[in-house]
Amino acid sequence: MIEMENIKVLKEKYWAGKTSLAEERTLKEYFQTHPEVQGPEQSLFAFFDKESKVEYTREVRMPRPWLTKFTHSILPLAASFILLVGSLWGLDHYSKSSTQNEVIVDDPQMALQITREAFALLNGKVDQGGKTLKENIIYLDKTFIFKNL
Amino acid sequence: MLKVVLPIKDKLFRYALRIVGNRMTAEDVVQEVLVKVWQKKIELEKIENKEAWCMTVTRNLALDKLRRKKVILDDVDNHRNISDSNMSPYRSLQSDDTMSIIKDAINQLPEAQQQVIHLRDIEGYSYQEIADITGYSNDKVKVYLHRARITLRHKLTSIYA
Repeated sequence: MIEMENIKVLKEKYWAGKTSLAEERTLKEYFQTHPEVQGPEQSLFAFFDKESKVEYTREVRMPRPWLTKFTHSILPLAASFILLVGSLWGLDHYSKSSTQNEVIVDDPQMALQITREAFALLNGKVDQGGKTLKENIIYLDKTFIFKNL
Repeated sequence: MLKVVLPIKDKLFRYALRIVGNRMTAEDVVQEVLVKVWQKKIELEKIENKEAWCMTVTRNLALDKLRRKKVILDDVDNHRNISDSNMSPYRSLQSDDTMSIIKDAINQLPEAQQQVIHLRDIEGYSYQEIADITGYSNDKVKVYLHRARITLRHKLTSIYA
């Protein structure tokens, strides 16, 4: 009987927002152990109990200190090493390929002929480029005219 | 750092879930909190109430997420890790309808009231701790809690009337 009176007082205090944490715990325990008691407080405390059991299920992953320190110290070194090796390989490859394309011509007539052919080829390419440019300009003009019609 | 975070990871998650209302986003928030804890590990050693600090970080990150994108609110009940077989007779007596009504009633409270009632009635923090976590004054915490409980009482009493 005393317990019931006490709970009644606590319930009123609870709704008024005047209960201490200990008093709220008393209410919670009371409703947990008296499921036969029906009422808003019973449902509310059951809801709070249910909510308090929701768990975080994702794996907790924290950066490992030794791994972080190791990566931080090794990364600049590894980057420098890769850059150095890459540069050396590139330099070597370039020098090899440029010597492979070299042709030494001793005959001056032959050299003149080759040079002329090279210029003729270049001239042809320039002409072709010029033609394409002209065609594009004409096309652009047409577009401009049709747009302003 | 794990010593600080592991025991409270569920609390952090529940608080984030209360704010963002979406499990995936809440999990992301907790993951970000872990990274923040890791980054601030030196500063954290000087902090007296580490749990409150972690809760504040969770709150800020969750609110930030909520502002940045509209998260899809999904049914929190679908993500519970407790199966029906684990339910105590006490809880199994509660009808799903009533639980749903209470959940909706809490979700309809203003954000500040939702947070305060969550921290007090679900996590069991003191007024001072709630004030530290949320940044509200002690008096404001009491007012929000009182208002939230009045609203809940009103809604629940109408069911049992």
